[in-house]
Amino acid sequence: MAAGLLSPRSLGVVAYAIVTTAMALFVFTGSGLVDTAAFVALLVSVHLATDAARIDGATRFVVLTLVLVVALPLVGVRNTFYLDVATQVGIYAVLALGLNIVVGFAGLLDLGFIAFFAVGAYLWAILSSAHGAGLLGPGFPLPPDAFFVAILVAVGIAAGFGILLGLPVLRLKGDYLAIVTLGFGEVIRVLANNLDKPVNITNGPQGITGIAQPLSGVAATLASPAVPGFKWQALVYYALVLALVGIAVTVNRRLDGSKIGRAWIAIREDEIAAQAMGIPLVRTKLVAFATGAAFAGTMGVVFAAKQTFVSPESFDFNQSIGVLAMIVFGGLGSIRGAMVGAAMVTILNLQILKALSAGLNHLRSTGFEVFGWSFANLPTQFEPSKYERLVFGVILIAMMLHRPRGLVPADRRTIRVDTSNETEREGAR
Amino acid sequence: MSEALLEVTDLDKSFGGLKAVDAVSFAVPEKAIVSVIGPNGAGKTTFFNLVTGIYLPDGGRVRLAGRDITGLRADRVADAGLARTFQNIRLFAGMTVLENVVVGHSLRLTSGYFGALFRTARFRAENAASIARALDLLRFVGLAAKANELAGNLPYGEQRRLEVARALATEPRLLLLDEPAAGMNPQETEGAKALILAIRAQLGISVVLIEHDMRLVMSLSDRITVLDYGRKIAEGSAHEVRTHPQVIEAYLGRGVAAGTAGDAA
Amino acid sequence: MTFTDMLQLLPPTLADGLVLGLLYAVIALGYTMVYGVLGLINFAHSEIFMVGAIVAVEVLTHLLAGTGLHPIVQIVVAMIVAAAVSGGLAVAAERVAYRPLRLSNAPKLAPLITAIGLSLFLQDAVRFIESLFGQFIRPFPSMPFFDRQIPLTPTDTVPLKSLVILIVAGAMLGGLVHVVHHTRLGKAIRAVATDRKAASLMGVDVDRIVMLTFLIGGALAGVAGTLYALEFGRVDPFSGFVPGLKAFTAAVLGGIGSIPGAMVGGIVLGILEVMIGTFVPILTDNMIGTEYKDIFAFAILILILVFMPTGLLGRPATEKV
Repeated sequence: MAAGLLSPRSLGVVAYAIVTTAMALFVFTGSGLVDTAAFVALLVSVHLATDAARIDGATRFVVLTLVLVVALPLVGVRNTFYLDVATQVGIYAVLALGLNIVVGFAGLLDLGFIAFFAVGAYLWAILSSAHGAGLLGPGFPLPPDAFFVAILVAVGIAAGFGILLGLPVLRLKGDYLAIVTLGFGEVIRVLANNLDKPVNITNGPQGITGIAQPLSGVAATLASPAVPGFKWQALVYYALVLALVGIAVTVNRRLDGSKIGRAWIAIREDEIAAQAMGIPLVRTKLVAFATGAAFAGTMGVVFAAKQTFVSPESFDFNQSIGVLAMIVFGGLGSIRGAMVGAAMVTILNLQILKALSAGLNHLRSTGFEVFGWSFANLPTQFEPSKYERLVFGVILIAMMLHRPRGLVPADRRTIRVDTSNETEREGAR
Repeated sequence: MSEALLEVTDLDKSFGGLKAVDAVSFAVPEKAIVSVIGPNGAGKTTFFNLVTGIYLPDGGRVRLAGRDITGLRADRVADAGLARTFQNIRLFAGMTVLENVVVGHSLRLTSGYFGALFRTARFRAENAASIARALDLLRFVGLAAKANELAGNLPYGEQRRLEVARALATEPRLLLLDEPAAGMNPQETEGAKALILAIRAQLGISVVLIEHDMRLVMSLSDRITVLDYGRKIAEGSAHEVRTHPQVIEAYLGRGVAAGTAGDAA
Repeated sequence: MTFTDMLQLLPPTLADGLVLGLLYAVIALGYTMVYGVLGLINFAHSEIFMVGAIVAVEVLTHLLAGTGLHPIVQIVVAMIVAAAVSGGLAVAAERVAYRPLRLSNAPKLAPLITAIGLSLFLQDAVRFIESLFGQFIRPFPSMPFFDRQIPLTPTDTVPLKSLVILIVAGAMLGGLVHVVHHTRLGKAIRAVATDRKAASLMGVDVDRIVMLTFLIGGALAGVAGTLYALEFGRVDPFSGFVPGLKAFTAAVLGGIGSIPGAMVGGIVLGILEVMIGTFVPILTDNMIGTEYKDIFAFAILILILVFMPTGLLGRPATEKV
């Protein structure tokens, strides 16, 4: 059972959080590997605090508030880069949580998940940009703060797409479902690339620019001339994404411990037995699909606003696999696992691969020699930051072979009862 | 004579060229315990699968409490009040013992997706009631002490009991048990027998069993139906079936049947 | 464009379609055989095909160029090497990635996820290797011999390479049919595909048969890769993805698990793809252009799986309850 606030474990976690916060505030100077390590250490304190089985609510509240509401924004003020990374992690965390429902809970392998992300992104792009005005006529583009309405609309539209896709394909066996969803993802990408004629809906491979950002008024009023170079808009996005992550986690946890959540797990474990217990297969799977899609669609809107630019490139098969790698890494069906996976894969891609690339480039340009061979001879095509597929592939294979339940396996017991008064019997009374 | 709870008329099913179930008719009254027996491959489990909606019958009718449920999908059949267990145990191995039974009860809940999402009062009340009911059923089958254990970790005999508890959670009017005593020692079989009698006595549910353990069948059943090669070849009391020449022939071969008939006369 | 013009387009379109279809058929065999024997979609098969193509190009470019050997001989050598490498890679994949999962208690999605991981890994691994030596897009060496035109109809010709592909692919298909139906190995494969447990009880070494199935499928993919490189003139680490998906569609179209099905499915899909790619833009005045060619295959895949999941020649499988 969870320990109290003053127990050794809780105090340990709080102390760790304070130490890493201090480190972050005083060590962060740039974006090198040391800073990344400090950042990761800070995030680890969040992970430790969310272990509901071992940490009580009060400790959790203290640590989460300290790190997420106080420390990270302060770090961000000194260096927007890390605020951006945290926001990216948040966006992918919600995506991972959405795919976790489809793959982790219901056991449906969706390889085209990013298509729903694209739907949300293009929705806001068209509604709020000049391009959209050209397409939809007067009344558009919508004012930037219609963003919040767009989020709600995206939930509905993405869920609708989820149901449309799911209806014909959810009767298929697992492997086929995977291929078909992959095909669907590709179809969406090709459509995004080519729907610039006869009617220019998506503006083709050039993408759509000039997408509106919400709450820019708030950012402007908050802006203080004493902090030059700091984009208050970044803080706005951070807060927004943090709130959405909170909502996503809550939705996940509430569904998990309910009739529908258990129905999903039942279907994953044994479809025939689930049916015999009265669970309607197709309808239950559709709900999983629609819910996951809704998560993705929502974050699509946020993504489009944050980037102010969307193009078909951001929504290819690699991205779908990236999200899959996150939940496989973290733990299929595990809520905390999805977030750990999202954080690790995002940081790996954004930070570590990039640092490796920068390092190699440096070695190449200075002609560093080892065993008589100069790094200047390294071909320019060799660019580690582009090797995300290798990373994803290794993660998927290694996890399935060695830790199929992930780094943070799902705790499968959602109900615990007190059995201390029950006796073991041989049969009926 | 009370109207039959379950009424099967002329049920037919072929797989490719093979007729697995051939014009089988079958009736089960309220509060009865009935057995279906026959040599391996006689079509008993196929018969169950047809009645419970896992296979679609080629012909015939299935009626439950007067309502036509022929060809309904398995989940609709469960909703109508027909629950079952499986020959090769099909538990949700990754869930706890209690959760397995709670899943069985889910079908009777009225609060759904949005109730769970917004934690409505109705959701919370129903959730608590489900858990209480599941615990009751676990006590009924004698597994309450293991409620928090993973179903996959239970020993074989307890897994069978859990399957029964899970099926009972769907609040059925009729329970179909596919080889409930398979692989059990005599003591466990006695326990299974007591459980089945209790199901009828305390819950008022009719039970249909497929079984190979003849002693269990003979001591438990109000009536026995015998299938062979998909056809019903005999039906009646334990004594009637035991001495029926066609039944003996089906199990032991023609020569023995002739000899036994002589002995029984 | 008039109707007679379109009619004149028909023979070369059909010829192109047949050639493409045979390529798909040879690749599809790998998918269908592995599925038949293990019930697993070998996602990485498309990369095994790609490796074959790359190996063939490298052999032709570095080993054989300038040797003065007859182009046919060069191609044959390249095919043999590609087949060996691809076959070996397939066997290695089975050993390292798929077999451990069969034995362990992994979740049901594990084999498929591992296959996807393997596919991605191979793409970037090949890219890595090719990048170390320069460009990772590898052009097929210029061999004018194969561009010689052969008359098809009074008005059209086809390049010699089409004929080569026709003959080689046809030989592969014929050879496989012979192995599967007239040899003991083939019988063993069919037995394992029908019922793995029963086959092992009958004394068949299932592990060995699975390995050989992967070997044959991989080798075929290697040959197909060589032919693909010949036909399209260039390969890169990512050129396996789309043909692989289309070949899989072909296998499903014909009935997954059925070898004649894979062949029929491949040819049908190839012809359909080229016909649709040629005529639909003409008929819709280029509104639906050739960019949509690739998703026609996906559309067909979805339609088959929804309306005719057992494919043209497949048999429905019932699960024992």
